[in-house]
Amino acid sequence: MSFNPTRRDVLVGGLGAGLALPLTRTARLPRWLHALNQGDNILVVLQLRGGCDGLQCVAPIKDPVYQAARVNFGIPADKGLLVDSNDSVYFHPSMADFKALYDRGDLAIVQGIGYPNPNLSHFRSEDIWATGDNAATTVNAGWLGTWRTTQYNGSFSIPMIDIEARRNDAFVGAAVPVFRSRSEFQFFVDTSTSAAGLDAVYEKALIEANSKVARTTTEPNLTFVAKALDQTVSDMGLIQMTGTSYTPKVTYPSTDATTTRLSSAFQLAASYITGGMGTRVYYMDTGGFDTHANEIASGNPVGGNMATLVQRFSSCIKAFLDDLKAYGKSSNVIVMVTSEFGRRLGQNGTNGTDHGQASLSYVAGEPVKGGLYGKYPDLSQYASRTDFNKISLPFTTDFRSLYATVIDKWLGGDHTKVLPGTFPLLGML
Amino acid sequence: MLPNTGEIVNMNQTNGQIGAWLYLMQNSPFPLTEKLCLFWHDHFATGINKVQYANMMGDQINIFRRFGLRSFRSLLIEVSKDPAMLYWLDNRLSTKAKPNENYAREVFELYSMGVTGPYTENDVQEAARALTGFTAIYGYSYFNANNHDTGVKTILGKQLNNGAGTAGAKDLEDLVDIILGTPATSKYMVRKIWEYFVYENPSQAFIDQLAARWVQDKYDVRALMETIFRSKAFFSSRSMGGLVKNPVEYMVGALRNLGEVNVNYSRVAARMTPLYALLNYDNPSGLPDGIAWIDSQALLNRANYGRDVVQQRNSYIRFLFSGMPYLPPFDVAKVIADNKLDTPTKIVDWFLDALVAVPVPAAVRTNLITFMTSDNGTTSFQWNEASHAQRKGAGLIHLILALPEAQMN
Repeated sequence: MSFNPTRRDVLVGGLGAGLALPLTRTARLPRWLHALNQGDNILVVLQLRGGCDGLQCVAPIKDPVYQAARVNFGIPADKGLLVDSNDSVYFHPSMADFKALYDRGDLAIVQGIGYPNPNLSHFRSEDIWATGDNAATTVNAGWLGTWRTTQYNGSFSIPMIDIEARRNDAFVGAAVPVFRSRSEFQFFVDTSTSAAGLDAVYEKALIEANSKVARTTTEPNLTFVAKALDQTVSDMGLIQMTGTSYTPKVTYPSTDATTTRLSSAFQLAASYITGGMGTRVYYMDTGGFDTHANEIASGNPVGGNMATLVQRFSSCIKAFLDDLKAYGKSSNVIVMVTSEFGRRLGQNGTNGTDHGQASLSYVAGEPVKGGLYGKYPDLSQYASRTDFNKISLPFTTDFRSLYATVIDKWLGGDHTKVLPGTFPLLGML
Repeated sequence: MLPNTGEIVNMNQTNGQIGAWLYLMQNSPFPLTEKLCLFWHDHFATGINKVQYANMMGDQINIFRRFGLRSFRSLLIEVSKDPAMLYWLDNRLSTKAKPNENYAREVFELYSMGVTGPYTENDVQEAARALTGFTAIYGYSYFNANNHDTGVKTILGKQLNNGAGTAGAKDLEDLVDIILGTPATSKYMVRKIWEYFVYENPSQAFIDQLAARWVQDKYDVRALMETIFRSKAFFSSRSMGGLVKNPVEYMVGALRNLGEVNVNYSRVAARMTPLYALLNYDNPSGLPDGIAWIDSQALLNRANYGRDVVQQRNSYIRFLFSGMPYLPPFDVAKVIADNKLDTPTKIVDWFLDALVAVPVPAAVRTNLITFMTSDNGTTSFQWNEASHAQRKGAGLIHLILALPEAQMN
């Protein structure tokens, strides 16, 4: 085989003609046509890892059982931010941004969310939220993976992006790019000398060419790896080039490294959304909610870790939505917030709370019909108890109802093909 | 960190601890010990994010180094008393008045019989009582009899009744014996080890057989490994090239197969973080194996690491201290000369053989040979001049490490 491209051939035209080595640049162009978002609905999922203490986020502070269960721990009656004049629930004082979203009708709060036969293991419960199936013993198919493979009818090759350190189990069953900054998502080559620089172009092209060579192996794992590499190459160009001129139009919070990281995740999603990327689902996470100890500061129920945690996610979400609004791109984007479970009614001996059952979810965004959904678990049944730190609140709304609503009313598709059964829809979408 | 040139490494830093371990994985005369350390680390997945002290994490790996090939009974007991674990799953805070169920739950669910094991919520609570008083301050582990619940506990139908004082510490051994007496434990552990070392989805009948043998061998891990490595199944075609390398196997494997030592191991450790956060698991369930390691980001990271292994410029892993020259790049020309690889085809085949365990498609091999014999944009290219061989050879290794086949064991 003869192979003598000129320098100009390589730099300008790629290596396409002689060797049929598809360079990203040439492969990318036609795909722009269907890469553009035509106003399709976009879902951003934020997973709060560790089991968020719903009782401290949206608290029934006027309920005597709440105050009895969380003596010197719960949100004090004069500190909460009123959610709704018809109800006696109040935001944690560090959630002023959620209060603002709620007041403008852009925040739905799903109360008492959970599932039957709750499992208090983080990992099992995360698996259950990832699959939507509380009977599955392993994650063979995540709910978003199944939505992608059975319900997604678009033609765009990157309908979902996972902005996390590792692929979320919700995507099991479908290939999904996983990266936290766009610069992570490319092949790096050595360009130290001009000769090496030229080789670099060639190397990059060859990595891509080698990934396109058909594999005849019968080994399923190798087949999977080869397909995944092929997809990686195809998607790289779009991920690199979309939304690069984005700059945030609002100031995102950056109070500490973890907050900055969550802000970066939202800004990355914002850059793709404002850049017109056809991606329909973005997924991100933030941790630290496993507040067995020091959930509150000693002697200060509205200080401590919980204050930092709730402020972090609520302020990032508001900044993100305001940013999209400033760009005129907020009419087709919602943010859904989940956590694997809630925590016990009463605190433990180390200024924290142990794993419980029912918790809260939120759906935020301009298209959302704001308000309270589901029923706050009834605390009066525990009025005569004293062992509050043994009590897990029973769920009142199945989380699959939230997923079903998002699938049927937002992403498009039939939730009964994704989830094990039929679930009543909620009204926020 | 460069143990072979006497550089001092700071073991109070996580990357120093990981770097030393990576060095041992590559260079230890007992590679099985180190591979089992990695297995046990994933099994008892613990993280610096909560433990806080790097040397406590290193001490935990040393427990795996010392007990990882001995009886699983002694390993479970040692891990239960390990300071890093006592911090990680809060048992150090667990007292008679305020028992903490975190470790008690995971010792059943994750560390012995699996989530489908026969234990109940009540067994978890009773085990938590049995473990009260096992605590640690910093790296010092001890049994505080005053905080131990001295009452009778009933776990999986068996009673623990060791009374008060230091005798109460026997509750831990009794708990471990109850766990080992449950058939679910040997089956769960044997399946996990088999799938880590040999192939995925062995038949249940086969696992039951191996598990029964392991019980006879008194849960001796060395005996189990010997049974596995002498089995016909281990030498069957099914066990060849079907497992996906985990990121540590991939990264250390490349260094080991090339015989490369001119790297700063603590920087290899930092480079590995996005792929496999050694000593820093987010949660105690460990990480899923097999194709779960593979997504587009992981494949990019692996290919990009492949570049670092061989190239110098921007090569984070060849940096020592600011102001000092980078360590030299991998000496491809020397490999070519030493092995008398006098044609481009021989060079390609030699590196494929060294780095890839399964055959690559003929078209890929042709692409690689073409890469060695042609140079972009220049006409004066002579592949067998040392400087060209170095440059092209480095590119070749990068290209090979980026192949799907290079991800398989």
